[in-house]
Amino acid sequence: MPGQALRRGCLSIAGGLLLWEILTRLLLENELLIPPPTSVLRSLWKLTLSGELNRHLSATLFEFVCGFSTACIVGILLGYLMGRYRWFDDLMDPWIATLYSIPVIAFVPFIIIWFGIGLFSKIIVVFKITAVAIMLNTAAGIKTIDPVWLELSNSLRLSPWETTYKIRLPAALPYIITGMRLGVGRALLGVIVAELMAANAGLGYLLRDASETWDSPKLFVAVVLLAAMGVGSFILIRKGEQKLAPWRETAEW
Amino acid sequence: MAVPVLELRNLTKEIPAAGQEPFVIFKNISLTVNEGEFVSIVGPSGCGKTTMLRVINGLLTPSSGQIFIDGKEQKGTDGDLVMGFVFQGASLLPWRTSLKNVLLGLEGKKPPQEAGQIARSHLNLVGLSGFENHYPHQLSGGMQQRVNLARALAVDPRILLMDEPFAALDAQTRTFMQLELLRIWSQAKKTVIFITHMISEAILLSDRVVVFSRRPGRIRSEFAVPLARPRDIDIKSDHRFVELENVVWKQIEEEVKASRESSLI
Ligand SMILES: Nc1ncnc2c1ncn2[C@@H]1O[C@H](COP(=O)(O)OP(=O)(O)OP(=O)(O)O)[C@@H](O)[C@H]1O
Ligand SMILES: [Mg+2]
Repeated sequence: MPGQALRRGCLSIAGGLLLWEILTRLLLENELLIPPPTSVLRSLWKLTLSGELNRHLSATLFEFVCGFSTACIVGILLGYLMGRYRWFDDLMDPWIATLYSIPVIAFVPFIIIWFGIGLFSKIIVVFKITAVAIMLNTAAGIKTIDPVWLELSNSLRLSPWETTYKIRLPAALPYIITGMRLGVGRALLGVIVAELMAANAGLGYLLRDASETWDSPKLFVAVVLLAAMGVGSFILIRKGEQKLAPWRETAEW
Repeated sequence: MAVPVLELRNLTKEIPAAGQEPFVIFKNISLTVNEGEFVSIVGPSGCGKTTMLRVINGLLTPSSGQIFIDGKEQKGTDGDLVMGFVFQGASLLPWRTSLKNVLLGLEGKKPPQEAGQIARSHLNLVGLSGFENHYPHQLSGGMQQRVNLARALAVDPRILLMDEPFAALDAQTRTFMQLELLRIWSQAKKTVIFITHMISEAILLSDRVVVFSRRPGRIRSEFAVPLARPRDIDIKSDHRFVELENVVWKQIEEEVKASRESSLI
């Protein structure tokens, strides 16, 4: 009953907002601590009208989309090679292990020094985080392919190229999508951290700007938008998964 | 006139082992299968039947010996697609619908429209029209094996290799699929090598039953099945059927016993 689940979800959010509004109005004098939802809405409205919201939102989205899509391409390509060729896997492994174990926060200052405070440095951050997750998962998917499918491919005399895109890649697709799903959450975190540290636009920048000016409603706007972006990208990936891999029962998350 | 389609000459497969005698899976198999003939191979488990089928199909290289199809020697997986293989387990691609699974061997080899027609007509042949857009997980085990069969037949092979295609089915479905295979075979008119553990299945379906020895597998004996076609389920109570079943069973029993004794030593 997806309709019912959705209705209950909306009802729950509406109820929560109402409670929040009532509590903040009744108990708190100071909007600085927790602004009531109506103030947040007013702030959102103001930011939308001034065009500021559009600027920040599109900056973050742009960084995210660019970084994510290049990471998908590069991650799948390198992951495929790692899965297929042992020597390539061995060459890549130490680098990936190192890259993977250094926290993003430690990376960001370097990336900003190298690539500046503009959009490009954030694209790099998103790319780095997502590409590694997709690469490792693609490699795992390619390695664990059922040997019967490869025999089948040989028995039907498929060419190596056909074997790649008709057998190996579809077989690894569930893994690739898992990599994307892991990447999304962390990439979102990465891009915000980078924007918090140094930027001239973006939701992270908005967040810092709001906190420096003690503008709680604006701070909340940024947080809510971030949450919306996270949820939105999860839904997109899930929809994409259903479209790309309709044979799979919908995955848990 | 019997026209040979497949000819195996002294086929041997062994796996080299460092510092030891090589592990011999089967040895000196010579077998001729004629046009339109249905030949079953029975033998104790582990005697090398699946391996032999893989070698014939080119998935493994023989250690020695030759394989000819229509007089042409087969080497590895080069060359034309002249064999259809139905695998022991479920080998359908879960990301492809029935139709697309059948299309797998046709794509790029035939114009799309023609390929589609061929695939549909083969799904129809195995009794699955209306299930073209179902994914494997939406089909029963018997239906999945029908798709496997349709996929192997769709490429119009000279010979069909079937490795225990019904082993995973329940008894009832299995009997039903045997009768279906009789019908499909009489329509498709293919030369078939069929591997099974079930002697009655071998006799019901075949023109000839080949009994393998224990590993290293050799051909122990061959029996022509003296039963007229078309056959149906009643034939199982025919005295010739029962006698042949007993003779083959005794031989396999001997092989199994002997291999147990040799492994006890
Ligand atoms: N690559 C391999 N390396 C080592 N041993 C192998 C290899 N492939 C097969 N064998 C061995 O060869 C023997 C024959 O295997 P095969 O699968 O051909 O038997 P089978 O007759 O099909 O058995 P079953 O009836 O149980 O399916 C087995 O003992 C198996 O362990
Ligand atoms: Mg076998």
